Amino acid sequence: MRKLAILLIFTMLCSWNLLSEEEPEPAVAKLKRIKLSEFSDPLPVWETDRVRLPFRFAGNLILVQVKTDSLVGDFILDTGAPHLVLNKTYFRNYPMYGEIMAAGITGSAGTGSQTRVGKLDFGGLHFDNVDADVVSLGHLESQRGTKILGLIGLNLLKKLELTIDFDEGTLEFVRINRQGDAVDRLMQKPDSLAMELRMTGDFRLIYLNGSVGGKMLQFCLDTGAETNVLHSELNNKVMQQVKLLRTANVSGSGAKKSEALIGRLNLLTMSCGDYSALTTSVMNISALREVYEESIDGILGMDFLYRHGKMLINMNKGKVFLWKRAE
Amino acid sequence: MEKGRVIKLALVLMVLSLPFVSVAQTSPQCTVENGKMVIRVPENFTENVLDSLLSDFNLEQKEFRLSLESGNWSYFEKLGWKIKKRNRKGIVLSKEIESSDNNESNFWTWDFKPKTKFELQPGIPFMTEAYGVNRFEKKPGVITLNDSTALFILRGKQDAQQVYLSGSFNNWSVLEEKMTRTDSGWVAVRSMKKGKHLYKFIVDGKWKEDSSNKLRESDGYLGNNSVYYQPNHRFYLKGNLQKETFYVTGSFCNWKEGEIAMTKTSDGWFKHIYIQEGSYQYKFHSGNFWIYDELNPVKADDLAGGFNSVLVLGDGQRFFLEGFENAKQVFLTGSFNDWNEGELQMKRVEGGWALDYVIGPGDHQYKFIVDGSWITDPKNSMLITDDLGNTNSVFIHKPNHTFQLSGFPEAQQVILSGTFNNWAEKGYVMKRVGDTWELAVYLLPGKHQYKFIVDGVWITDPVNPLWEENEHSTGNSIYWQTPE
Repeated sequence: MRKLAILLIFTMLCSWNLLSEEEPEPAVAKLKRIKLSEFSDPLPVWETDRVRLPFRFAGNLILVQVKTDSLVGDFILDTGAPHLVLNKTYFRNYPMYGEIMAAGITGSAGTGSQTRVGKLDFGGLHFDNVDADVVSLGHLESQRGTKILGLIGLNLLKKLELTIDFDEGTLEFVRINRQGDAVDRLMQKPDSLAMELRMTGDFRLIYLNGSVGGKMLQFCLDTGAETNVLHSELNNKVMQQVKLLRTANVSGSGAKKSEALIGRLNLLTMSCGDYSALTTSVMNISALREVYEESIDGILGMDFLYRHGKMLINMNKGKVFLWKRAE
Repeated sequence: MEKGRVIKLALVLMVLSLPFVSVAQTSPQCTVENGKMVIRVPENFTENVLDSLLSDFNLEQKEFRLSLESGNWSYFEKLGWKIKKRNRKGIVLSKEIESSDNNESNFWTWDFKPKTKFELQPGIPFMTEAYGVNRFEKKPGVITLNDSTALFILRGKQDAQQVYLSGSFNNWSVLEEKMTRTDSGWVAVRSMKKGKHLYKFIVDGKWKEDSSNKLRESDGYLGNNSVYYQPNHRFYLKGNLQKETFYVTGSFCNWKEGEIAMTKTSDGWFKHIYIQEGSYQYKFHSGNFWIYDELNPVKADDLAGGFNSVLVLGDGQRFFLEGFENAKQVFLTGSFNDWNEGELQMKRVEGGWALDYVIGPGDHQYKFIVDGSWITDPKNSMLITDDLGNTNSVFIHKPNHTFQLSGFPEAQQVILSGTFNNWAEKGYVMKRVGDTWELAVYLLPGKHQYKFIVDGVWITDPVNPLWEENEHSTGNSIYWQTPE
């Protein structure tokens, strides 16, 4: 019997008034929690060894135009999602092969389904027969004012090397060899400005270590999260590093309301350098920590990544490179 | 420096810093400790700091003051706060930060309600002014070929493999609109609707602004989109070639002087412009020399002993109020003129009052003012109640989408309700046309959710495969209006 591993992904999607230094304004945000199945990693089919694709932003999220079997539209590049997620609004007619079993730590009832997309085409690079979860992303696209077909999750990026150039607005996919190195080594070699980070954990998601208030913490690097998140139950020495600014005015789509505090993280130290004044949400992510097979203390979202001009992800090598933003 | 002086200096610095230490001690604070949200209010707190803290952290100010005075904190205890009084040290409130888990479903969302609403969506053209003129360097990146066609040019980039044109006009497609290589660069000819458009070039997968275009607006991140207006009007002034510059100005640009420069030709001056549909007055000027458009026979008194020329773009709409023969004055007012009370005076005609007026496309709200009394249009059953509780008549001008519902021959009434009319439960009554219920509305570009109310029963659109879950677990139908 197939073992269904169930993951809970929290993704915090906030947009901030970046111009306001004094008080960041969470304009629109979402927290999504998806119970996802475990799928195999899809194999890329290449037309050339290197494929460059421009992307757009919706708020602070990365929108990539992708052709599916019958649709062309935008997907969010979401390294915080383990695999492909489709928006139910547009994929309702696909044959569903089984409801996701009720699960989660609370024993809640499942509402998502699984299906398979015949072709996922990035233009010069495509994937065949990709398994996906199907959930409603309606709230997300309503708030962004843009059509969102789904989320490009991390397992689509495992058999290749990806560079995200935030300044240029481009994604560059590069074929890798059996050793996990880019086949086009000469062009792909990170230059002297690149800072290397080693991934920790099981590589199911991108886990990175960082230190706050003298405590070593494990973060999930998540391009689908607009802001950073710190777990509210971390050591007081960690919390002393956060200057709280306000409560986010939160209303859940469910009846239950949760607390979310917005603040500014004074100092985060990573192997690649120090980061100060990071906009950070403080919330209780106990549920997330329990179901992750890795213990995570927080999420590093786009608010962290925007400090860099470029990022390279090589899941096969367990490496992330970050470039300082060009002055 | 001598040791004694150093000590003195240190003492002075300590004394000077005392007020700051004292402020810090008396400032209320919010922290997270042991997983709890903690509010500390010292006994001698600073009033305005407390007020802003309570506001920032969503604590009811009035109740907080009352509790502070009375010492009775039951209001906050009911909200889950634990209260700890510390003699002479003030009060400490703490509350568990609950887990962000939710038992109701395995996928859910939170909305962090915005304090301010986004009016502009990056990438979707939105006009904040009634007009637009192109501003290019000497070698423009876009040339208007005629009323409905433009030539896009990216100069240079000869070594590029592929160049695409992407913009609001092709829904920012990155894969569809290839440009053609020429001797001097890359070109694309495309049909354009009149109005505002946003665009960029994509050179070998990289976005590129049109460097020849001085009009740009933020793309929502670090870059800019280039802006192009496909014109719908040409101002022309004959002669006057002795002047060095000439400008056109009018009510479409709030009579700003020296803003819209005209181009000199061998026999006069001209300007291509896009102006939104409506009624305007205008003049030409060169410094203090003002002149109306002699080639335009439609003029209006400029209230200074001269004339303004009149420009009407779009189709006139007749507003008519039946009856009220004994009224002395009737005015039309509405969302189209910012509810100005005294601007649009109606004329007495047979059987009532009338005014011919040009307005742009959209769902317009309006009322008549009969001898000072505001009334809705008695002949128009389409009404909408705004957020302030005011009920206004609705006039849909140049609708761009027709909602249809087939069947339901026995139904007495079908109402169209959606995000575009604030989920109105009355007013947007659909009309029976053959065996279909229909209503044409004007929709802004973007996503719209809607439902039909058939004799009081809410239903989704049975023939629309696009729908999504709603908070009532009944679903809303989805329609995407593409930018025009």
